[in-house]
Amino acid sequence: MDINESIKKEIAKVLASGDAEKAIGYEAGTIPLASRPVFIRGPEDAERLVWEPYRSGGLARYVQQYIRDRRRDRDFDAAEAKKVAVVARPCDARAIVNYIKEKQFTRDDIYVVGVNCEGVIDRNKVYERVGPYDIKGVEFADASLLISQRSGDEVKLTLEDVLASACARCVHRTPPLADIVIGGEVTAPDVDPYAVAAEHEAKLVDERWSWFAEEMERCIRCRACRQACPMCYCETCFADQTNPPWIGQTALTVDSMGFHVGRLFHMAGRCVDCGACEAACPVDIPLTVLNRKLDKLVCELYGYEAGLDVEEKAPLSTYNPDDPDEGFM
Amino acid sequence: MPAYKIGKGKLDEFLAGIKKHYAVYAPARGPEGWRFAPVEGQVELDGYLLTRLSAKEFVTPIYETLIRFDGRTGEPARTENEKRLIFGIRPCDARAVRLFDSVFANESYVDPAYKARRSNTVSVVTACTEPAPTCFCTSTGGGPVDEFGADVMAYEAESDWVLKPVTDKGEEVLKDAGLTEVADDELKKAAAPAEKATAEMKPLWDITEAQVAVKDRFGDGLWKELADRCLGCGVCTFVCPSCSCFDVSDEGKRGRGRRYRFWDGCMFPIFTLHASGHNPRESQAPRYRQRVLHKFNYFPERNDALNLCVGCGRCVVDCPVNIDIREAVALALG
Repeated sequence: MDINESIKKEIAKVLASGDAEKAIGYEAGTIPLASRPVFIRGPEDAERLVWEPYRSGGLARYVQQYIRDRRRDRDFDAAEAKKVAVVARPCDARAIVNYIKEKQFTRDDIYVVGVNCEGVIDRNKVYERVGPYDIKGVEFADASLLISQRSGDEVKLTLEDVLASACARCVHRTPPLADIVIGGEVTAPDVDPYAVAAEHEAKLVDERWSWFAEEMERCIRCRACRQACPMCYCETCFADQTNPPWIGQTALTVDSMGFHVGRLFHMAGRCVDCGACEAACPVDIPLTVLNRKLDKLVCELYGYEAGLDVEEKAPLSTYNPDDPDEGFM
Repeated sequence: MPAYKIGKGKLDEFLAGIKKHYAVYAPARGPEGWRFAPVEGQVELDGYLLTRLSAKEFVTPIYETLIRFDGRTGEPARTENEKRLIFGIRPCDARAVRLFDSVFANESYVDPAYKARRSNTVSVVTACTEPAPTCFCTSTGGGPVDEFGADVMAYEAESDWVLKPVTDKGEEVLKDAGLTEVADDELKKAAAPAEKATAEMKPLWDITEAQVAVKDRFGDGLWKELADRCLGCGVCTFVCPSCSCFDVSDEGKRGRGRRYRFWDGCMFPIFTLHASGHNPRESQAPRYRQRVLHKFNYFPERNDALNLCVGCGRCVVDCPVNIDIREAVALALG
């Protein structure tokens, strides 16, 4: 059975059994290169589910949001509550591990249909080659995209050309937490997952600064990165503080830097490198580079990688007498 | 007003002449895709359809200082009064800019900074001959040859640009530029491919019916269905050529500082958050309904049925979770 059929079957099954009240997966989008999140309410709706190498953000954030909102409902009865089912790539599952660690919900609240993952396409990478308004249709087969263009020409891109940066360096191809895992084993690429951070570190301070400033100059402060991020779930973001404002709201480079640096700090030891921020960005800013830098630091200082094990303590919320001094601010 | 033509090879020279009196902008390739940039040297429009961000920044910048204050007095900030010409703006984007007049320069209020920028901007609109699959301007009152927001309409002929003045501002730019006048039939011939594109873009709905339908479905579950997946980010409103909402904030130290305004968007949860903590639009469903109804009902109801959505398709393309306004209106129509 192919992956899509297995997903449909598993979701229909868990909804039909009454164990889960809702499922979150992907359905076909209205434009090429877009699968989009869909809420499945009954087993009969599971037919809507699709499995494509496209991604609109991730799905984990919807689980946290749904369970949070459900808890706030006056009629909510915790004793009666059913599970929320979700189709999860490894990075979704890693975000779910974080949520459980951060006490957003418990393992019993969810039913995870994990899927082994070969990565997804970053539409911004496609747009670098074929502009967003030039794409008429896309066919995906044999690890390549055949794009028919507005001009009538066709262009073929390999998955490798347009794989999201986060996916190209991802070594976690199996969900670390799942009730069932779908799809054959996927071999992780033989790459240094922190290579992009090492490259960044190798630059001179001035070069790093001018790179950051140049990228930030394009930011329009639309908050898509924050909203797409599974780990950005604060009720009131520091960037939304208004009385008084904690950071400037303009799109001046200095204010955009403040916003992104603020996000970065909150991501240290939590980012699961899903790449949702980069995928959501309408001006194609390589947002994950500095996240990787922080992940690398956390890995070097504490030997920790986010979202792999529910039992493992998060380094920035735990104190050990032998913690390295560099970890103290 | 007669129309003119200029050989394609002479365009750069023509624009260079205009640069003596105007700052000239045209689409150019940037890291994120096409963007409007100051013209330096050649204008190269091969493959251009739409800029990634719209042209609204020319009249409503992403942020601007309104007042500077020093603890005792405040003074309005100086608005730049650069005269500028945008070559290559599309009919949808130019239409959106003109629609801003109803918001920022209407009978009861004129925003001085907006007014200055708007009066100083000349839009040379290039008609579209090959719309994208996400374009739906003919469904929202516009089209590939729509002159609503144009000061000059530009049609690309085989070896010439045929330029048709639409407003006095447009005529002013063209009349003494040493261009060749063209007869009506030559203008018609140049416009034919764009006219053909217009005819081929079948409207998705009857716009009058759509404007009523979205309001009729106000209390419907439709909005929740559509907005359940909404991230609550500002992509649709920020890339939208006709979204104009802004917020105001102060910043400064020891009494000296400035008051500035910056783009805001109705998809953000804090857009309607009251100081009391109450939020009248408590979830993404009423927020998304607001966006659609403002575009397709509230605005047209107050402005001679002019639709606020201009059908450029930017929000359709750029929404990170593929919320498609065409689908929303179609569903409202049932």
